Amino acid sequence: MAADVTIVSNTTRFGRLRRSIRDLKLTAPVVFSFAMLLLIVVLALFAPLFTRYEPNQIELRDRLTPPLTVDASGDFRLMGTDGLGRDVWTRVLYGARLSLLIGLSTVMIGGTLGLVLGLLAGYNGGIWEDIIMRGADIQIALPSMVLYIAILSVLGGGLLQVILILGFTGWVNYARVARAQVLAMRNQEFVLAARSLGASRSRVLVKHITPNMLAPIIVIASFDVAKNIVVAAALSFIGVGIPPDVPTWGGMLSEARDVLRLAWWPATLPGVALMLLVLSVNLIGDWVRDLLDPRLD
Amino acid sequence: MMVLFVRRLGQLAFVLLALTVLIFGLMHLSGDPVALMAGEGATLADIERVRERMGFDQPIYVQYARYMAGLVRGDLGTSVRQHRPVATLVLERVPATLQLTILAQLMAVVVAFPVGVVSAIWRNSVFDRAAMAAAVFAQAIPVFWFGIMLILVFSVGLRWTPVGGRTSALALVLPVITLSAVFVAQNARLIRSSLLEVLSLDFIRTARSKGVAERSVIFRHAMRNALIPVVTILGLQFSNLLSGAVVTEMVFAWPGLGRLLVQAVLGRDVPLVLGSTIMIAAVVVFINLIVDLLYGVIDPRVRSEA
Repeated sequence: MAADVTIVSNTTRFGRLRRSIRDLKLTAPVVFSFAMLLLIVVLALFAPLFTRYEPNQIELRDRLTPPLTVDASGDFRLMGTDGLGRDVWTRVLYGARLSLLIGLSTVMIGGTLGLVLGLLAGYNGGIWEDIIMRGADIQIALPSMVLYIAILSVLGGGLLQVILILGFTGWVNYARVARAQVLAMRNQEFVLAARSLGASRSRVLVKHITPNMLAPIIVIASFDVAKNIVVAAALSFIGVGIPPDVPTWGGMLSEARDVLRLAWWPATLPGVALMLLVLSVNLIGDWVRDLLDPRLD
Repeated sequence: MMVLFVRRLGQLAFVLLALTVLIFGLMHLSGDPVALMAGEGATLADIERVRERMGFDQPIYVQYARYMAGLVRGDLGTSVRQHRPVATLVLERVPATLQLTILAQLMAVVVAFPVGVVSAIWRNSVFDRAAMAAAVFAQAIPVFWFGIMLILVFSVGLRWTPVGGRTSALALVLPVITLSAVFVAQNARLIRSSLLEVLSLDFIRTARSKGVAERSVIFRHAMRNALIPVVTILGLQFSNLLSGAVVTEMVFAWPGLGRLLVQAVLGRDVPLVLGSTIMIAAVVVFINLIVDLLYGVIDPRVRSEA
């Protein structure tokens, strides 16, 4: 009898767990994306453990060794070597570090700035709102790539410059969403209640309004991570972003163009890495959006 | 109509003002623009000569006022490297960029439209699933890498198309495909979801229950409404399209505004950087005006408001 009861309660608990897992809608592409992202993060964090070369180690004797073959020095090359005999796999690993760093740091800067400006515009209104929202309109009217290039032309290329530019120009979407959310929430009961209890303006904004608008902000952030990674790669590719002495995926593709007639792999493999990273982040973004807002699609 | 035009013109003025203030401000903050332009290895005498010729010996607000006064007259200064008026250099490049972006935009609509509509009508069919999966992939492919891959296959491998340049009609094929791929994917997904949303509305049920033919329900009743968000996005898209064009022009050595801008940056040609940036902003605002007008054709409610 007692045994039966245990079994029943176990199944219900198991059933509940299964239901909550089902609610997560973990489809095959989503699981693939998480696995891929985890793999890239691990490879990037522990890059030196997965290769015996340095990213800028030039071995002219071994140049343009095809992938999965043995080079002139008798060493196996997983992704081959580039026009200067540098190991493509090693450079892809170290490039992943930069891509992840850029993706995360720019979104943190842009997200924080946009959130603060959006809250300010939505809650205060008036002249603040006019200035901030007009600024957003102006920035949207200009192609972002052109804006980045114009600013980089003055500041010069470099990792820090790229992060700061992508970060500080990335505020617009967050500010627009944050403002719209504040306007929608400003006169709702929980906000009015907090205010009538004497909560200060900043307390209302930080403790009551912000936690309620994080869902759409997280969705924008996840797509922005992917977008900024691609933009940073594109800037390196056209030669105005991070200088070529730092191994970036965009820089690798740019250099690979010079040997395109001789070798396909230096131009192909870093791009595959970039695409897999962007695809995973985008699919996770789609998944988060569907979870947080079931009305869409 | 007139109101719209004036509003857009005002927007252009605002954008140009903000842009020039930003660039001038940054230039001022970042040190000596003349040393930057003269490059490494320039002697002090060289630098002073450039400074006086360009008017950089004046205070920053005088420089700015001079520049804006020139801008109003259509004078964007002289290129430091090419020693020709910036306005001429910039205008020469406009046709190539417009050709590339407008063809890409056209393709993004012409290909995406049937795909999106068929996917919506045959929802969850094999076609729908395959098309939407392909769209997710296409949105993840970086523009410049896609361009290199196309060159690798069709120019280097098969030798069907030139590697770059604006030499023949054939030279247009790869750049247009490269630039439009992401937008084809985006638009197909958008058209599909927009049409699906409209098809679930009451007036569609009414039309069907009246016995209106299914073809007519979709193309006369649903499509017109489904197009409204699509046209809005198309307008916003043009700005992104020009961003993509900058990169595409670099991949294919396409002699457009984007390539001019990047070359100006790499050559430290400040007047040319400013001039090409301003021209690109003007093109965006102009295209947005056209999209606004198109909007009125599709949605009568907009027409009556304006």
